[in-house]
Amino acid sequence: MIFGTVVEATESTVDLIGRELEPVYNWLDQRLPLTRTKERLLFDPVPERGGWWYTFGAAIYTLLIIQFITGIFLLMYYVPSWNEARVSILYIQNEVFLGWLVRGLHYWGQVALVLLVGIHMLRTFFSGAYKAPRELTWMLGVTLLILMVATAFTGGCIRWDQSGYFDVVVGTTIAGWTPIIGPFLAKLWRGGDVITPLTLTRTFTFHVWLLPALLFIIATIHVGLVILQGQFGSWINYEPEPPGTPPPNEDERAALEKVKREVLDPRSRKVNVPSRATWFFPYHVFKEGVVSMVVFVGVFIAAFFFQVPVEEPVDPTTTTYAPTSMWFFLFEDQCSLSSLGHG
Amino acid sequence: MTEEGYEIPRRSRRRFLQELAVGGIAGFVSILVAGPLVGYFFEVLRNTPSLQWVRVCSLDQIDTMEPREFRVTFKGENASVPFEVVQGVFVIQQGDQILAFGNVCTHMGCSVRWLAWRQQLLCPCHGGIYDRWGNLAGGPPSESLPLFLSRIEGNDLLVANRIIQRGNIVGRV
Repeated sequence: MIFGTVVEATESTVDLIGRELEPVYNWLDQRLPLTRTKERLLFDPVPERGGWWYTFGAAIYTLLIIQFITGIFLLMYYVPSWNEARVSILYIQNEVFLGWLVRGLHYWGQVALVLLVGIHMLRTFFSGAYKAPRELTWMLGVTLLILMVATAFTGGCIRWDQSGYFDVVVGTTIAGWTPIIGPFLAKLWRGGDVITPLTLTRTFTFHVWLLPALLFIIATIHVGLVILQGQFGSWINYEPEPPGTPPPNEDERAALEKVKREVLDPRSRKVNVPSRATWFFPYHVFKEGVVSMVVFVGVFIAAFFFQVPVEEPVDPTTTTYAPTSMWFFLFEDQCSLSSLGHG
Repeated sequence: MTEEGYEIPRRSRRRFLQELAVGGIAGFVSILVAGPLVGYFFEVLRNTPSLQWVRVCSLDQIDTMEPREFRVTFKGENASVPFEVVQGVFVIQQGDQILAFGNVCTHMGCSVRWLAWRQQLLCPCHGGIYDRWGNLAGGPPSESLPLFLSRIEGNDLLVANRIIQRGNIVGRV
């Protein structure tokens, strides 16, 4: 009984707020297509089966936004300067209140992002979701993968400790191996023939503006295409229901009706009616929220327990420091053992 | 006939000229904006540091069997802040020549180091191997370690911030 009372009270409070805000909503709706947008985006019918596999994109987008936020806050202390870059990171790490945690979130967020992008791509590949008419979504996704690792790589470079310095050295050298235009690329990136302060400011510009801006714009188009063409391009959703499936409830019936109408509408870009559908909000958003939260909690725990190191100051004459590749480039590092340089 | 069902009239001359003007304006403004930016970004291609000579070591520090590594510092140029270009230089006597070569591996640019027990220079990144004179001896690199332009002044060896072809005479004892 006590639960019943609580629920009633909550509902009436929500209704009360709703009633109070209704004039505001109506005022806005007369000026902006609020209701239409809400019905298109929130009450978007999505296939009901396999929903948990379709949550990684949302987790990636969430993490991306967290990267932007932590990155902006790191910028309040970081100085992209030849002599001070590493010192300013030491300051963030050791002096700023909770600076180590913000830096840890940014670092481990990147690790999780690259991992999630891998899982997201595998899921897309194995569910056949890249097939017509979703080829553009896949192509933009591959572009996003490249931008993502480029952002992670340049972020490691601008630490400007030994590892960052040698990442830049190796990165610009690999760019220099490009046929024909390689030497120009390397020089453009370095800002000269050798690594100079311009290399740091250029790499910094790529990391904090150029690449994230491209990432955000293309990621938004990527998500827009998913919404436009209907979510879940997976074959599993268009197969007949297996025997013993429970009958659809009211929500599922309504969602299926809506998606049928949308597919028939010549102005719509949606294709194929899934055998079972449900509403994007709140049913699928809930799953996406759970997965995003689990991922972020994992990032938080990693940031809390595993401090991100700051290595020795830059010394090109070192006889003790052995540069290593970032983990997502280890495959490339091993490839370069045999292929590059013999060209 | 568009998807919405209304018709766009056939292109009149007036309409054509207006479309042309829109394209022209967009192109003109784009060039005005992009021109300076492209120049600004590509300007670094012209950056070539001026010739600088710095002292590496005195002649009696040079060995015939073991390349000794020295740190040389050139003044940095063409940057927004003052800085120094630190480079590692290996020096060894070969016959009557003195060789001064860089420590930057020709494969991926890591710093090579002298391993006395192997009597070889080794790169820690991908295992590039060079002999004591900096000649390529194995591993993924395709070239030997680059020679610095060098000269002898009094009892000192000097190097310049210039790379020369191997085989050139470097400095006579």
